[in-house]
Amino acid sequence: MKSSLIIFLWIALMTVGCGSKPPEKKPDAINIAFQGWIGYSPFYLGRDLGFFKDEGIELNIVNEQLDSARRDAFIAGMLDAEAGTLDLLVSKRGQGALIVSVMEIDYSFGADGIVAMDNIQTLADLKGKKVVLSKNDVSDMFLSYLFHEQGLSRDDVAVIAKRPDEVAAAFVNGEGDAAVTWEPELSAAAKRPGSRVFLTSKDQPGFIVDTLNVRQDLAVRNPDLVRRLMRGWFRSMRYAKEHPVEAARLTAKYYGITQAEYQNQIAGLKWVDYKEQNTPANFAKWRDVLNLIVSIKSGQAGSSSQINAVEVINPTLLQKLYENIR
Amino acid sequence: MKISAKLSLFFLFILTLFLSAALTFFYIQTRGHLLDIIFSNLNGLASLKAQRLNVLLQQYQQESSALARSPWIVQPLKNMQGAAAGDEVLNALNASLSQIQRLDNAAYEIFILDPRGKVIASSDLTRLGADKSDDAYFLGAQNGPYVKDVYLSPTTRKFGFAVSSPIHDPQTGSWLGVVVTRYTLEDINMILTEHSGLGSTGETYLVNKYGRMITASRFLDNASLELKVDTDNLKKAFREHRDQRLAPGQEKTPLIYDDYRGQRVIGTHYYIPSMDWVVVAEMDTAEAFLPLKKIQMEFWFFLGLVPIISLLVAMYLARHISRPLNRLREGIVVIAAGGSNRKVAVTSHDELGEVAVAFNRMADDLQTSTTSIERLNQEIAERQKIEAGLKDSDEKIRVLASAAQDAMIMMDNRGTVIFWNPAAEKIFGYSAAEIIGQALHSILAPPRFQPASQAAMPDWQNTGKGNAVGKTLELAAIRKDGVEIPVELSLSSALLNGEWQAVGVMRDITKRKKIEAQIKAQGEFLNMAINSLTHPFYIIDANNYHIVLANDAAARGQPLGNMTCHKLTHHSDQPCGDAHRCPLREVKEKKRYVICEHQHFDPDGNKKFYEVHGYPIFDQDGNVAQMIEYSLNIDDRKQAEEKIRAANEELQAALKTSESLREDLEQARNKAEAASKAKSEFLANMSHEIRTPMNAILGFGQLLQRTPLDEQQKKYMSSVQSSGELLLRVIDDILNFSKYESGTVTLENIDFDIRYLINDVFKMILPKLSGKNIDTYIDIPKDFPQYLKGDPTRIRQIFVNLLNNAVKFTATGSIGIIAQVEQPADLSGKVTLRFRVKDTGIGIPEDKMGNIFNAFEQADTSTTRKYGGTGLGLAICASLVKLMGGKVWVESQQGQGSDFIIVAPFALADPAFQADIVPIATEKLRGKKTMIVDDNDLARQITERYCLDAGIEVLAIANGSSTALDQVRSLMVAGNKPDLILMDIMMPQMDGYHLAREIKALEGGGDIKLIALTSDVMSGTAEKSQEYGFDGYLPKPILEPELLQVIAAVLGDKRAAGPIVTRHTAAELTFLRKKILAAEDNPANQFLLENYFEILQCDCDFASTGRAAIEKLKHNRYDLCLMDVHMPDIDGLEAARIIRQELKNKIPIIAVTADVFKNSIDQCLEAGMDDFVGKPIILDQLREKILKYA
Repeated sequence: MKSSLIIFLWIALMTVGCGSKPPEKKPDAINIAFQGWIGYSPFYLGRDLGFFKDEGIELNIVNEQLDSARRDAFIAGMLDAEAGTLDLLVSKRGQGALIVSVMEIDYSFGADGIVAMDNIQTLADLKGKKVVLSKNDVSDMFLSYLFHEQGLSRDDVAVIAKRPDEVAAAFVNGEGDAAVTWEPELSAAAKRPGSRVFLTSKDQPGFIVDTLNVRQDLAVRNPDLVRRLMRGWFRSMRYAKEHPVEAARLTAKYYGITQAEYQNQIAGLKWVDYKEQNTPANFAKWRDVLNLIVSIKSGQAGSSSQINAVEVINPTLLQKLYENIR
Repeated sequence: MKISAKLSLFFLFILTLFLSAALTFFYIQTRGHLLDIIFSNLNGLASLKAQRLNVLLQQYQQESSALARSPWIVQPLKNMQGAAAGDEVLNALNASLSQIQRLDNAAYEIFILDPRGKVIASSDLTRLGADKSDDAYFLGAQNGPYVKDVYLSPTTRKFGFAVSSPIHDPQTGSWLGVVVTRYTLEDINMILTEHSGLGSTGETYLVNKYGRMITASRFLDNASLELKVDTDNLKKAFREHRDQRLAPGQEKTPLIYDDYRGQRVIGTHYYIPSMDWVVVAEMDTAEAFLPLKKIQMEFWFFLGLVPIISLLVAMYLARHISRPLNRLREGIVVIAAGGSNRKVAVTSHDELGEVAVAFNRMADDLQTSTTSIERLNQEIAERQKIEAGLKDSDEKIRVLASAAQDAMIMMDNRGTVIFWNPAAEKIFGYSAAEIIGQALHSILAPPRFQPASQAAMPDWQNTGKGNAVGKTLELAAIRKDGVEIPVELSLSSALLNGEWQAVGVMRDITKRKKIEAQIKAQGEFLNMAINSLTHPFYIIDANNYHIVLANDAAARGQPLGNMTCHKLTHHSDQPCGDAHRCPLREVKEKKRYVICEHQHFDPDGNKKFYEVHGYPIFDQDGNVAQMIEYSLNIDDRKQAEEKIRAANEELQAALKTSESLREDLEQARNKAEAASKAKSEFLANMSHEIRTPMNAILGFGQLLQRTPLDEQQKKYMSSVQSSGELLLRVIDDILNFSKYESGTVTLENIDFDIRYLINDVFKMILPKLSGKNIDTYIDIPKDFPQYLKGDPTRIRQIFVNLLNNAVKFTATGSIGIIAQVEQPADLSGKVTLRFRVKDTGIGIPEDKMGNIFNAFEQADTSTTRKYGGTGLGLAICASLVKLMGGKVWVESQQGQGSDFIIVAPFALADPAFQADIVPIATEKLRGKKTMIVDDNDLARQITERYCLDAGIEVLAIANGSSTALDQVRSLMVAGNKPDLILMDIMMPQMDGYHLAREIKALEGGGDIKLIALTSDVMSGTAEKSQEYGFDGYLPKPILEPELLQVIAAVLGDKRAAGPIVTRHTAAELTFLRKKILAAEDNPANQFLLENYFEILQCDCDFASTGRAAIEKLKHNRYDLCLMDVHMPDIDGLEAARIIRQELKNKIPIIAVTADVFKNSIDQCLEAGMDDFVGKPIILDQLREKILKYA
């Protein structure tokens, strides 16, 4: 009797003891915003598959189409990170948003471009024409870059400014002779009869670079958090590359397109993997693109103040982040 | 444990369990209901406030739309189109806006943007002219009213949100601008911060898409857009409604979590999709579950009280049952202890009382029977004691007799057996039952002893005495089976009951007798053996030196008595002193077997040499008690030893003489080796010194030929090239001959394709047959092996020399090579092959045939002037064939022609050595990265030029080993590792071999392909290069096509290890196994192509129409497609289009066309073809295209 009681009590204690768990560490919440660009889809993928959670990060993805809104959110400290193009980074930084670029995401390789009516054969033919685009956005910068390379002036074209997700619809409705946008809008715009995709980033690769940008104070105070975010990204990107069908199935819905359309549009970009970008030569090339953008912008009216490329793409910070990624 | 305790605990446990379960159940139910009520309340509040927010936003949007339609706004903007507005108009507009703003408590600013996004009118004049073209309220309002999320204005530093609407011309519909109203958060705060129904800890608040609280917190100041809300409730809202797109609605599952203060709350949410906002409603669990606390207190009270009451009741009942039982137990104990007059009190009339009465009755009966039993027990106890003592002594006797190994027999006074133990049964075979009561003597005693025993009986019967009584005698007895056995008897008499009885103990001594007989026989045998020895044998007492035993050879018939060993052998009365070794002394000291040489007297009295062997015999204490001595006469041996010693001395003297001769020979050999080494080094240096400038001459010559030259310059350059190549051959001949003559050349041992080699050397001489009416043939049977191990360069040299001679001396007729298997492969894998180079030339005179292979000899010196030549060719052939272990000779008839025959052994190679080398197309060399290391400046320039022309990127150039290694490291650190390195071998400081080893040892260096470029082609350099890690090998001077072929083969080499790639291997492989599809309808062209492909050793498949070519491509894989442009059915252009667009096949397609004008070529390229060759097809052109694309 006595021994039975002792055994019963021991079993009860063990059960209670085993049942209790140590408290779990709360994951770090990161607010990240970006436009509806297909190259950012691995963020959705990684969030849904738990890759960021494995890094101890609760990723809150905010779909914010307007760069000015993201700028304001950065200034207010509400936004921690964004995925965006280098030209918009320059704009925001010039307008007071202290953000730095920490990682390359992709190069546009055909997914950005100009759709134009058939009578427009060269860039010079755009002179005197109306062009629909999202002003002060990557499309705006891309057009400026192309004109710059050809020695043309932006003043020779009239801009019809639209929200990024309205550019294609506006062009299809007959507004403008050309439109500058990115996929899926680019393909949608080319559905206007008598038009075709006239020129894409495949013809000018390396200029439209999407990067992961974070608040400067976050990168300095908590580089480990930024590193974990980057690690989650690389894992998600690898998964998307290795499982394209599955990636399409999981993320096409966030862009309102079919899985086949998703796979087709993914072919228009090149994700940059860890090995490819983690070299001094690549970091230098990255800053060169930024400097080019700054020089183009400095020639435009109402441009932002001078940007120091080394502050925005900081080699010391990058070295610290990249050396412990693996 | 007592019954009372058990009963108490049992009741306590049951009642407590029941009560706990019941109370817990009720508690949980109550909690659940309470939670539902609170949750429902919170849900209702969240939903209600969300609806009020939506209504508010709609109201704002309606106001904004109404404002945008106001004529006092529309008209001025309409007038402004195309022209700047006047100040008056603008001032009026500003004033109106200001007035409206003041009327609306919530709005703090209203302004108008023109179509370019510029502020043209505002209630705040400081805002005029600002560019808002990128702002959300401008961009969002172009199609309808837009609400901009709450933000902190960078200019006004106020929190607020904006509502904007487009301004359109009501008549034309054209867009005139946007009106924007900025609102404070006052109205929104009013909705959300109203806390009725939320107690003292509940609250509702609004959160934006970034997780920031928009409205004021009930508990914390300055929360708006500052406080980050990171709760499970909010995450659920975003996850389900924003990410998973679930429709917003009342939540069904209550959530309990920690809120933004860290307090435990019950919460719910309502998602507003239009703004990506979440209305959160929460209440502290402490307040929510307050009613439950009261129930909890009562619960614990009852849980404490009930067990106490149940315990008391249980204890009372238990005592009522256990007391009577205790009394009964005490009574039983007393009775069991012997107290039979014990009674138990009867205190109840229940079952327990009846048990007590029965117990008392039992106690009385027990007392009566106890007394008589006690007396009986006493008597029984005494008798048992006596019987036990008797039994004990009987048992001892029985055990003693049974255990004895000897027979124990008792005989009574009449001579009959009265005791017979088990040993007696065993020895004699009679059982006790058989023999007890029988007359002992008549059964056991042998008949011869019976009279004597019977005679002694009377005396013994009366007195107990006799001859055998009290003694131990050896007698004989008869067993039951009749066998007589020897026994030992110990006999004694005992007086028992007034009569003498005999007790005998008998032992069977049969075995003992046997052993005694054996010992005796062995002693006799030993004696005979000792005496049979021809040498003296003694046993000597170690203490007194007396001879204990001696054989006849020692004693020689004389009695030894107490003779000592020294007396016998030394004729001395004293033991041996230190003058010689005494074996007995040594045995005593060493306590082991000894041998010593001793000189003493033999039994005949002569002094002789003996070899004495001494064996110790030890006593119980381990000391030597005796010694066995055995002596061998060694006089003859001593004499022989003396003779041997003398002969040895003579031999030593002879050896000293031959040693000095050997030293002289050694010196002479070293001198000869040094001379040979010096010669080899000289020849190697000469080879290097000559080949290096030759490389520059021929290399730059090739490069110069590629620059624009006029016809005359091209002719001159061609002459320079051919003369240079001729000079190189002459120099090679001379240097080779010197090397072969000295016998210091080392042949390579690498794998090669003999069939390809023969074809290739033949191709080399074909141009020399131009203009001559000479047929050529190669006869190689099918069973002739293809892959051999050997030195392909030297074999090639042999055939080239013989073929060059054949060409030189044959004006008409034929030249051919015939190959045969002389002997098939043997067990070692070697096969003997026969090669014949046959011509129909001028032949060789018979008297010259013997010397034809000697150096500098020619059949006719006049032929030197007519035909040219150094006269070294055949001598070189002969030297090389001899080095290969073969032989060469010629059969010839003057005027008829010559037949040069070579027979040599070869090892067979594994054809798999080439399996994993698939040279890449030279077109694919573009983009590959290389590094060049050469101490010779000109050589570097030439190599660099070749690489750049092929599209290979030259990352670095080093002029020596030391800089090269550093440069390789730098390139690897920068992530720019070269694919291959082209490296000279003979360099100062560190040669190419050691540099190669250093590079391969670098981390990641194992992947870099290394190609050796060397002027030293003399002695096994290809094999040595392979040993040091090179992947390819090319002798200088370097020809561009050979360099590219070797690079292409090395880069396509997928083997982990294997024979080095030489220019010959590369040439063999370049076309080997290439599969070509030729679409050609003309049979003659097909035949031509078939021949070309045979020469190039490519596999070819034909299709006669474009359609057939398409079908073949659908089902087979090819490396290249040759497509005739003009074909029936589907022509080449259409076929190419279909292949590209429908089959999506990227195979290189080369157009074959007679029309090589630009338009036609463009058409071919547009159709998807990659290149073209003109008709008629030239072999070199075809080879070039295959090299480039396949």
